[in-house]
Amino acid sequence: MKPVRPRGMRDLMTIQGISGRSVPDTREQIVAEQARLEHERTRLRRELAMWEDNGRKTATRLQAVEDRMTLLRRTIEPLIEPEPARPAARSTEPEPSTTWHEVVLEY
Amino acid sequence: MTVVTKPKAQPRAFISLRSSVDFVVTSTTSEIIDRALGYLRAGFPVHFRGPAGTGKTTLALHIAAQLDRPVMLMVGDEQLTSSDLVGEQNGYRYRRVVDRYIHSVVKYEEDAVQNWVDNRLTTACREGFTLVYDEFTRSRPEANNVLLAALEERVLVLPTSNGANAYVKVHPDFRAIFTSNPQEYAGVHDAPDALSDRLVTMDLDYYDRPTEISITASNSGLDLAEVERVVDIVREFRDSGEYDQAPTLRACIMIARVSALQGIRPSLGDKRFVQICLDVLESKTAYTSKNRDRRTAQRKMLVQMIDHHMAHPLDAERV
Repeated sequence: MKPVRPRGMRDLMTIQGISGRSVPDTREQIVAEQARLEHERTRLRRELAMWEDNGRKTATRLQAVEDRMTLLRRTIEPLIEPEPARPAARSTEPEPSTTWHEVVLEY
Repeated sequence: MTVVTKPKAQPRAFISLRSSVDFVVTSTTSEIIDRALGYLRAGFPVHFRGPAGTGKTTLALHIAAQLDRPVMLMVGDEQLTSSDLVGEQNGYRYRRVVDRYIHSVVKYEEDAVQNWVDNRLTTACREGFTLVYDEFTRSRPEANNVLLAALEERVLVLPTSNGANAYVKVHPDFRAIFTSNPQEYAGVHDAPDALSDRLVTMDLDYYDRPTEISITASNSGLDLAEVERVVDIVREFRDSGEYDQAPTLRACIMIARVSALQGIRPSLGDKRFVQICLDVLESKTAYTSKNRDRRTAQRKMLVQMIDHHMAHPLDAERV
């Protein structure tokens, strides 16, 4: 059987297509696929390590921002007027009380 | 910065009743008042039905005053709708919040809530006031339908889509007093059976002679003996049936008060008194070009009645 020469990117065999394929039965095919998978495993482990490292860095940065905001809030609180900080506090105000006007009627 | 517009409190009016110095309680009216108060205190609405000039409204107001609660007074009218009784959505309450809590973030919140405004029936039900609904049959029957549940189930059903405010539990102190004219009166609708069935209807007729004399004397300032003459003239005219609109107690009070104010003594020789009687009583007959003969005959009859009652001199005139 004459080997097919790939004509474009879509004809190239990639690692993502492996999972859906049938299990090869020849030794050459199995060894080739094992080699590809070992490379892919290494690549994924490296990528996972990078993500975990990024997560740690982001968490550290986030904590630094939170600490800084807390510091700023404590600094500004004595400077602002005693007004409710959040609008939600206003929504719980009671409805305005009704004022009554008495009309005297003599019968 | 937070900006919130504060809604203003809505002023509402209620009526506080006081009896005037002219108000008279006789044995006849006292008995009616006691009966009506008994029904009201038992939780039943009272309905005074009777011809014009029988004191229905004054009696209703007096009884409402006895209940010692603020009063909501309504007058039935052809144009009255159920929203004139219970209230309606009137305008919007607009709220805008600008939140600059973090300098780099501006948060806007805007909402507009429909503003519900209670009308007299709803206010009375909510606050436990006494409702005096005068001439209620002059309103179209469908306008009064909202009263059915309020009087029987003690729940006022409001025509609003807002679930929280759709029902008002009627206050235990809420009482209702109705008045109406008989159905043959112009501009009067039939009272719906379902509503009539919920009311204790008390039919009022013209008062007896002593009561009419007491009320007329109290409201005019004329001497009692002279008031008796005036009342007798009006009562005899009423008994004759020669009119289109029955002369009532108001006619007695009109004649007596005008006479007292002008210093006219009801007597045979005073033409001014005769003229006042004719002015007040002749108008009880419809004026058309075709009934001139009838009016002439009626005038002659009225003059004879006045002559008849003036024939016997008063004690003061005898002296």
